[in-house]
Amino acid sequence: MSQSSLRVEPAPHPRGGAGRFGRGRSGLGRHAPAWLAISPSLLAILIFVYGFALWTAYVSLSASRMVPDFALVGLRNYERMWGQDRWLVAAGNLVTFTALYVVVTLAVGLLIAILLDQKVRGETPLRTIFLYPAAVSLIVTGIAWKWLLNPGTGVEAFMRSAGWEGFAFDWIIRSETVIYAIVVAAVWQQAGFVSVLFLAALRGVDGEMVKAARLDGAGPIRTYWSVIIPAIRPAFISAGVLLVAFALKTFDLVVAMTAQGPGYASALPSTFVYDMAFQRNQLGMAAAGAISILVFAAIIVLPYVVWEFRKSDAR
Amino acid sequence: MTRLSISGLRKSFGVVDVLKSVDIEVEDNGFLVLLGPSGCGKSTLLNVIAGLERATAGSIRIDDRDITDVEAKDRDIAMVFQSYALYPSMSVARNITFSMEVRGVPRAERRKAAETVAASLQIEHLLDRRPAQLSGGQRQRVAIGRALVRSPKIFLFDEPLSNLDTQLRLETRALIKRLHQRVGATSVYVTHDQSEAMTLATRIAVMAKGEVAQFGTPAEIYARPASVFVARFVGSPPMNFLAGTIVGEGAGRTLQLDGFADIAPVALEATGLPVSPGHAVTVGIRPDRIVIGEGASRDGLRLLATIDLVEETGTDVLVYLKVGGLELIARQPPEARLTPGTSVPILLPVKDLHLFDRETELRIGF
Amino acid sequence: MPADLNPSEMVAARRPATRAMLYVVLGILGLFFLAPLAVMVLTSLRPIEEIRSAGIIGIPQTLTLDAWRAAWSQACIAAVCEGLQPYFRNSLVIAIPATLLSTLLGAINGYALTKFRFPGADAIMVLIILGCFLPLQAVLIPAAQTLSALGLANSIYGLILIYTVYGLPFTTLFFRNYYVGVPSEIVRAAHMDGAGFWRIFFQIMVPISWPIAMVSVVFQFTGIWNEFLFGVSFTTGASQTVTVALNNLVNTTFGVKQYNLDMAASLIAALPVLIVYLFVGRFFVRGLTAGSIKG
Repeated sequence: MSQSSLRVEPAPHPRGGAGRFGRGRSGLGRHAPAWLAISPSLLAILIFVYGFALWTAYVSLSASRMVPDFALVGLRNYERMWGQDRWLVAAGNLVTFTALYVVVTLAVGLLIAILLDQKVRGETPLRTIFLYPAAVSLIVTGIAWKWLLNPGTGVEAFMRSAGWEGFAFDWIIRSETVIYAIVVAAVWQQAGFVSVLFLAALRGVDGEMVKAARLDGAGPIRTYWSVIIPAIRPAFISAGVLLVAFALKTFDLVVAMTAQGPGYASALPSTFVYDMAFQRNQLGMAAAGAISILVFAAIIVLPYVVWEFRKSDAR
Repeated sequence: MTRLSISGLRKSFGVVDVLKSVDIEVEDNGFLVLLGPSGCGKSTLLNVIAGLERATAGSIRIDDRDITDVEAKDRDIAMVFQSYALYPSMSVARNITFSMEVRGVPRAERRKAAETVAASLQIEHLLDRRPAQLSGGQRQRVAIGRALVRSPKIFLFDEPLSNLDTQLRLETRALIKRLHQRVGATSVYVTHDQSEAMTLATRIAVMAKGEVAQFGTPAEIYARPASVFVARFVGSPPMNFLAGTIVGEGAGRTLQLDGFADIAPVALEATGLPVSPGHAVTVGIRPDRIVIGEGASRDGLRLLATIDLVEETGTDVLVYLKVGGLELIARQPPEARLTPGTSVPILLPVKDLHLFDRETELRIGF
Repeated sequence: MPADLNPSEMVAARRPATRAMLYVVLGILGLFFLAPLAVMVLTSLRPIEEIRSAGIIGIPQTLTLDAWRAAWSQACIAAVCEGLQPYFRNSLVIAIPATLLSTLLGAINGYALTKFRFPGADAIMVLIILGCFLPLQAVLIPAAQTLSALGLANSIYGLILIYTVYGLPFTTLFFRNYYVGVPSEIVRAAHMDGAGFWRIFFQIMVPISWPIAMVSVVFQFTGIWNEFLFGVSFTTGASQTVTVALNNLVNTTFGVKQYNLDMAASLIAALPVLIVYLFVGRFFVRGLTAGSIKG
C-alpha cells in the first residue's frame, strides 16, 4: 500500500494535569530516557527531512548544474523553469491529474463503500478484489494499464476483433488525452483503499441518528445525502488530503505507463525534477521544481495537520 | 506507624496553579479522602504524593522522612487506579507480583505471595487468567491485590469505584473498608462522590480550586461545613440556601429573610454569633431538617410553602417546595402524606440553620 | 426495532429489483478491478506467437510457463541476463531490515511521545508526522549527495538507511495513534511498581502492540518493496531493486515486445506484496481503520 490514513488521534486530556509525568524540580534528568529514546529518530528526521528540504531550497537558488555550485543566483532557476514548455505542461498536467484523480477516486471509493454497506453477500471476497490493487506497485500498475489501454493490443483491439469495427479507445497515445489514461490507472489503484476508509467511517455512524432520520420520513437516498455523508465528513477530508499528497508524488506510474509521452505530453513535476537532476544535469532547476512541489504540498497539508491537532486538543 | 504530612504544597503547570499551598496531616492508620469536583486538583495532589508528579514547592513527609524528591518507586507507596491499569499481556498472578519481579524476587516466592494475596481477596481461581477475561469487579480486586502484595506504608486510591456499577460499587467499598480495618495502613483516597467519602474516611479534605476548603472528620464536615461550597458539596440532596439579613443589636439581634418582610424574624440571641446589624448572610438548611407542618413550639422561621412535586425514594420522600420565588427540597419520612399543589406551613428550626457570610461564603461563627 | 441496529441495516436496499441492481453494479465494478490482473495472468501463460495474432485480451489456447521461467532467471536487463532473480533478492535484503528497524523505532517514538509527555513532546510529534506528507522529490538531490559522501551510493545499505528514515513518520504515527488509546495509568502503575522506561516498553507495551505492529510491518514492507523513485535514483546495475529492474526489463527490451515476459515479470515482482496482502491484509485493514477512523 502506498499510503494510509493519517488521522491524528486525540490525546486523552489529563485530568488536572495528571496523566503525564510532570515537569518538576529535577527537570530534564527525569525525562532523560525518553529523550534518549527518541533522539536518533528526531535527529534523522531533522537532517533527512528538514535539513534536506532546506538544502534543496538552497540548491534551487544556486547556480548548480551538473555539480553543486554554491553561488547564489536568486530566482533565476525558477524563472528559467517557468519559461520552459516542459514545466508548463507538467504543471498543467498536475492540476488536471490531481483534480480528476481526487474527485473520481473519492466518488468511486464512496460508491463502493455504500454498495458494500448494504449487507451484500460475499462482502469479504469483494473487498479483497477492490483492495488488492493498492498492494501492487505503481510500476506494475503502469505496465498492466499500458498494454490494456494501448489501442493496438488492449481494449480497442479486443473490441474491434470482437466485431465492433469503429470502436476507439486511444487516450494513451494522444497528447490531449494521455493524462486521462493515467487517471484511470491511478483511480484503479487507490479507489479500493479509499473505500475501506469510507466503509469503516460508515460503520461508525451513530445508528440512532440514522434511525431518527428514518422516523422523520427520510428515504434511503435522502438519509445518505443529508445525514450519513455529512457525518463522515472527517473521513472525506482525510482521504482527500491523502490523495492530494499522493498525486503530488506520482512519478512511477507515468514512468511505467507512458515514459512521459507522447513527447512530454504526460510529464508531471515529479518526472521533470528527476529528468533535470539525473538526465540533464540541471540540479538548480530540478531543485526549483522540487521546491515548487513542496510548496503545493504544504499549502494543502499544513492547514489539515493544524486542523487535526486542534480537533484532538479540543476533545 | 505511618504518618503522612503535607505542608505548603504547591504544583503549577506553566502559569496555571493546580495546587496552591496545601497542608494536610494524616495520622497513622488514618484514611484520608480527598473530595471535590473534577478539576479541583485532588488527582494532582494524589499524583504528587505518589511521586508521579513533582511538587513545585512545599514538602511531603512520611513519618520523619522527607520524600518530596524521592522517586515514585522508592517511596514505598502503592496505588489503585480508576481504570484498574492492569497490564493486559500478563496473567493475574504476574500482574499482582510485577513489582516483586522488578526487584528480582525469585519466582517461587512471587507465586506464594500472589496466592496469599489472592486468597484474601477471594480471587485464587483467577490467578492464571488474563485481565481481558475478568469482570470489572474482578479487575478491581486484582488491582487492589497488586497494591496489597507490596505491604506499602501508604495506599493511594484514585477514584477506584467510579467504573463499577452500583451493586459492585457498594461491595467493593465494603471490601476496601474491611481491608483497611484489617491491614490498618494509612490510605489516601480520591473521589468526587460524597457518600464514598462519608463512609470510608477518618478524615476528609474537601478541595476546591487547588485549595483545601475544609479538613476534618466526616461528622464535622457534615455538621459544620466551613463554606457554602462545602455545604453544597457534602450531603444529598444538597443543602437549601436562602438570603437573609441581620437586624437589630446585641441581644435583640434577629435574622430576617430577604424578600419575606411579612415573616417573623427569628431571634439570634442564643447563638452568640459575631454578626453585626445589616450583615448580609446566606442561610443554609439541610433537607432533612425542614419541618413540614406546624412544628410544635420550636423556634425558627415559619413560612408558607406550596408543594410542587413529591418523589418517593422508598426509604423516604423528597418534597419540592415553592416558597415565594424560592425552591426548597425537604426530606420527610415515608409515612408523610403530601399532595402536590396544596399549601403547607413549614418550619426552619433556628438550631439547624447554617449561616454564611454572603460576600466571602464562609461560615459565620462556631 | 433492536436498539443496536447498524446504520447500514436501516438504509439497506430491500426491494428485490433494487438488490438486483446493487449486485449488477458491484459486478461491473468487480470486473473493472479484476480485469488487469486476469489479463496479466492469462497473457503471462500464453506463447508470444498467440498473443501477437490475437491481442493481449483473450483466452489462452496453449498454456506455458516459459515466460515465467524466462522472467525469473533468463531475461536480460541491460547487459545482464539472469532474469529478475538477483534483484528480487536485493529487494528482500533491503525491505526486511528496513521494515523491522523502522517499525521498532516507530514503536519507541510513539511510546516515548505519548506516555512521557515531556515539554516539547507534542512539537516533536508534529515535526515527525509532517514527514508523512513530504514529497520525496524535495529531498532527492541532497539524499543522493549525502549517500555518495557516505560511500553508500549504489549500495543496499544506503537504501536500508533511506527507507528506514523516511518510514519513521508513518510508523511513529501508527504507534502514536495506537498508544494514545492505551491508558496512561498502566504506565503509571508500572512506574510505581518500580519499572523503568525500557522495562515498561518491552514488558508491558510491546506485548500488547502486535495489532499495530502488523499494520506497520505490512505498510512498510509493501511500501519499500514497491518504491521506485529512490530505487531508480540511487541504485544501478547489480544493486537495483526488483521494482527498478522490472521497469528496466519492460522498457528496454529490444526488438518485438515480449508481452508475456513483461506480464510474468510484473507478476513476479508483485507476488510478495500480494501474498502479504492476502494473508495479513485483513489484520492490516482492521488495525488501520480501528486506530484511525472514528465517524
